[in-house]
Amino acid sequence: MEKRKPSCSRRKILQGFGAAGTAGLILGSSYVSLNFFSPKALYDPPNRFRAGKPDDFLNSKVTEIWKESQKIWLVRSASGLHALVAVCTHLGCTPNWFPEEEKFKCPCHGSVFNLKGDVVSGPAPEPLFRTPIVLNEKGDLIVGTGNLGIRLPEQSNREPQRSGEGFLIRV
Amino acid sequence: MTEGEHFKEKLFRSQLWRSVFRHPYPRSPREERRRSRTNFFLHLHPPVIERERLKISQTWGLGGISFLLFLILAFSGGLLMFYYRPSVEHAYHDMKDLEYVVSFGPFLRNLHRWAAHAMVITVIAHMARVFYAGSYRPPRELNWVVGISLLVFTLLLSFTGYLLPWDQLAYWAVTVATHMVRAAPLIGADGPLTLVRSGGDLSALLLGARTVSAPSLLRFYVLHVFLLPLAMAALIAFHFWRVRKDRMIRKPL
Repeated sequence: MEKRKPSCSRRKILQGFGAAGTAGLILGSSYVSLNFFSPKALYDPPNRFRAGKPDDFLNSKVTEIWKESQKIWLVRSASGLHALVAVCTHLGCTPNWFPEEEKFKCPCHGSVFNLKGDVVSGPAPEPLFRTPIVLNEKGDLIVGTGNLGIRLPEQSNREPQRSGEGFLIRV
Repeated sequence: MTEGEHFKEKLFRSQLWRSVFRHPYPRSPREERRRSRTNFFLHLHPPVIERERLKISQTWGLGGISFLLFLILAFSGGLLMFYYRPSVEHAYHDMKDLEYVVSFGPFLRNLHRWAAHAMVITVIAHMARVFYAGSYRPPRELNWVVGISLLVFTLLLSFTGYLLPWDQLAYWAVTVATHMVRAAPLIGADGPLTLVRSGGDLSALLLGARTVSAPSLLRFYVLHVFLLPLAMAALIAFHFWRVRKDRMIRKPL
């Protein structure tokens, strides 16, 4: 009987299993090691707050009282009241409001935004983020804090949502 | 024999002395080489080196200066650690205490700061010198890569140290820097890692939070005083060993 030469030896197969197992072990342990550094609980402040009655914010174009504690500007425009996150979309500094020019200007790299939050000049790639703003049953404004200006995957800042329902209180 | 000579004789023959210094003062090149091999501190340097290679312009001593600065930083940093607590509540005030209350505090802080700046400069100059001399070529190519890692570690140490004073400059500089990290391909905030889970990107791993906050300060502190210096020390040792094994700084290849 003719002895057939095996195309793959037993040793090769066992070596393959060994290599695959070792690779799996290394990959798996790298994953759990990295996972250790990923924060599991975030002790962020609440992601919404009660701002008061809408009437309180109709006198000035930009209300700055929530800027320091919530990083939110309440902005009165022709169409109504909306909330802007006071975090520059460039690299995360806090812009300043200049009432006489009606511009938000970032001190870090000079981005300039208008009342609607759109970029007028400077390096910012996107408009200032808007956050949800609704009235509760008592007529109080409930304003989202926009997760401290960090955009989450499910959030979008594109046109339809920005001017849509839930992002503007018509007054 | 005078009293002093008698004492010296006795000292040199004592077990204590001979346990530290195994061999007497070398009187021949052969004895000198033996001493180089058996003494921990002397073994770092080769027993024989060509006269040509001793010229300062061969290296400008840049690697050595970088290492000296590393030692200064490790020592002054260790002393600063006695007075600094890495928490939001204490960090800034401890830094101010170091400035105004602690004896030699301002000196230590400034020493640490200036040595850090100087180290970035000397490490980059060292890299440039090696590059212009063509010393990255085989057989030294691995040591070039190790050297680049050391440059990266130097920059990372500067970066993590920058947050620790917890003042306005530190806070906003690191805010800007970690926003830049969010833009990194693959491991950034828009990469595939965040699709799996929010907080899986490099910026969140660095900060331990969404923005620069209490966990970030602690993480930067641990990186700055423990992980990065440890990795750096190990790489430095390997770097030096490779310098010896890759035929020192003898003739250009």
